[in-house]
Amino acid sequence: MRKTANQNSIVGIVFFCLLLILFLMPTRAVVERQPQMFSSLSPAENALDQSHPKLQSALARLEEIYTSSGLTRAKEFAGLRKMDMVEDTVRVVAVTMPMPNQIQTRMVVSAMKQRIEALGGKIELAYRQNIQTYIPIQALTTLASDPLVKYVRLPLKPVPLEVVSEGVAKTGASQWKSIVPYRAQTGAKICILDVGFKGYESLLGSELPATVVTRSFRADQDIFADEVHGTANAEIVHDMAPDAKLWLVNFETADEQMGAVDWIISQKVQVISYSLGWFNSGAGDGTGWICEAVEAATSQGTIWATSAGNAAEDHWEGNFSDPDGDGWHNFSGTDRYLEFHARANMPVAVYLNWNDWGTWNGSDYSGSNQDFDLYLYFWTGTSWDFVDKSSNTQNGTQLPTEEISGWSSKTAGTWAVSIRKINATRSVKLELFTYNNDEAIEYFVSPGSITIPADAASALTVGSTSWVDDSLHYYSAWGPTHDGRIKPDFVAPSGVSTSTYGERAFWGTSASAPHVAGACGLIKGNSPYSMSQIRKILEKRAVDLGEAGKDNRYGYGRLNVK
Amino acid sequence: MKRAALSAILLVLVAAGSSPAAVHVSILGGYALPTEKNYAGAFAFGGRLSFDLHQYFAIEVSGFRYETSVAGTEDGLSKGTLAVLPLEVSLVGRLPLSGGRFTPTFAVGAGYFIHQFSLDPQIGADWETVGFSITEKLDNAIGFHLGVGLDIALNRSLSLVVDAMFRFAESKAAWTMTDQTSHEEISGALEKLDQGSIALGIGLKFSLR
Repeated sequence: MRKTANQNSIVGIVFFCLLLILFLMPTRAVVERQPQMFSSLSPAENALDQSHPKLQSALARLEEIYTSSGLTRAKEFAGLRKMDMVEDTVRVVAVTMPMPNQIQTRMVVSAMKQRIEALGGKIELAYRQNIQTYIPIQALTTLASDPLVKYVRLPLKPVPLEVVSEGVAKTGASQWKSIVPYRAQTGAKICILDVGFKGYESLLGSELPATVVTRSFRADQDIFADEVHGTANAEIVHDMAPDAKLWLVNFETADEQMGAVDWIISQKVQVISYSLGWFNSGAGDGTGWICEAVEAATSQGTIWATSAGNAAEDHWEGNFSDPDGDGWHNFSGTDRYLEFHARANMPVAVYLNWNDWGTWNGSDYSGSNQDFDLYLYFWTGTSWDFVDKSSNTQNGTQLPTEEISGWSSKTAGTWAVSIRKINATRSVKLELFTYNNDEAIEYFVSPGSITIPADAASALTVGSTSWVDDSLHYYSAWGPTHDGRIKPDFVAPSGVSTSTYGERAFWGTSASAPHVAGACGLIKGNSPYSMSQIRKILEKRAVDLGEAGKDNRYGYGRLNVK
Repeated sequence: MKRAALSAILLVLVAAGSSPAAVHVSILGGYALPTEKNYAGAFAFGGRLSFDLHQYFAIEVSGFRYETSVAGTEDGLSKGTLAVLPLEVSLVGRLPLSGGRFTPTFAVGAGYFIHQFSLDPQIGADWETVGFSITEKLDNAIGFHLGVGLDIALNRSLSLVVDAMFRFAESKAAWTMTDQTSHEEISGALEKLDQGSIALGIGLKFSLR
């Protein structure tokens, strides 16, 4: 027995040493590769989703973490998912039930405001049927359960399509310097609608006009918003149209943008430069909240120049396909993973939507009853490690969208997404966008890769070409729209110089759109042409590239004003 | 219209030639100050043919050309050069004093204002470089005038003439801008453009009979 005990001790010591070696050596390398906080904040991969059908799954997850692990952990999760929190409240948008007329909508919104305040919520703004508010985390399900609430979701936010300007000479705008305005009041009114204008004050009188009009529609009224993107765009507009009067307007969420656009229209601004893109914010056919804002402005004679997007190699679309019958979409053969690569500490984002938005009534979509979920994985070196999922319910009234964002890895690595069918009765066309990946995604599909509101019918959608040789930049998104219209309308230079970005060139369709906005302002500020005529002039003057005539990569061609 | 005006003047000349009344020919120089503030003042020159109808009355046909520079406004003519030639018929009243050595005169009449506007060549050239052409045309106009003057007889057939004339006229103009690439055209009309002026003249009058 004693001998057996000694043998057991030796076996125990050897086993402990082996464990120690395993812990210190190979597994340590794997742990380093793991994204931050995967295990502690990830949901169970195969857990049944029992969240409230009127509550976005990320919010349901937040409430669950708050209930089970407390406020600190909930704040970690909220930080990871880029949710806005103040103490134990989170910023959401409560979409109220659709009403047949404005009066009833106002009554419902008014009633909902009182109920939200009764739940401890602090209302920021109300726009049409949406109420943007901070609400205590523990009240999320209660809020979603309210019969006057259609859905509770995170506020929609745009992403800067940034990827400084030689474009002035390339487009011929430099030849307008000696032009004396003919039957026009010198200087068109151009608005740069963006997320932030950090550093703009230091450029007044040099890279920007001596005076500009500024207005912030953010809840915190912060025009700078720690973001230089808008400032760089304003620089390009000023380069193109030096006499133009500039309005710098920023916002953070979709509902704030609606208020901003109403105000811009009231200012009789003639051109809007917009270098932002939205995912999951519309059906891609020119409908939706963001496109509605574009149409509202253009119906007043304003030109809205918008970036096409940078997703030509970050976009996949195709019909749901499950040849092996396991409920997971197969991107190719039986491969259910669509892979992409991201740099270290770069928070990735994936957005899924499918063509089951229902009817757009001018303020909302009727909704989807085809339910799919989105899964995110990280490659450990040996296997796919489940990271997160988005499992919104779609049973008739919700949007056909899923979204996962905020996750990053301490090391550069490979990520993957999978799409799972939960409940679908018909074949649907899925569309996937990734953000912050550093290479082309696997199986990428460039056609149809424009972001919202590049699909808006009346927008001047702008893709991106090299100012050196007119070649299309790899990232410049392609048309058509989901309803088959050709987009973009133009391409314009990017990779240009700005004071804001210094030695870094300003890349992306973000840099291209302000060239077109500036060109419109240049002609408007010097001539009596109407905005619709200016549009036609630019169409005819464009330098045709690619296929003859308007096409889905170059539109009418490269911007040309000479 | 030009032909009609010239024909009218010739008819008057022919009529005067058949009349026993005295005929006077004047040549004048002077300065025209347009009443439109965006037009600069300019030196002017012209001529006048007078036919005595009566001791106290005469009929005159005249022309008085000046070329002014236009500063250009958004609701008027653009920057450029405007040549004005009013062809006028006047009824002249005369009050000979001091045995006819000094004759104050009063004139009233109507005229046909021939206008020729040229857009500033630099503007046109600059717009051409970016592919646009601009045309601007000022219509001719009917105008009226009132004047006072003094004839100072130097001898039987030569007088020194000084006068001041107030001219009233309004005309219309049309402008067109065309994009040479898309042929997209925009045009507009300018109404009630003030073509009036105050002109001071001095000259010599030769009496032919």
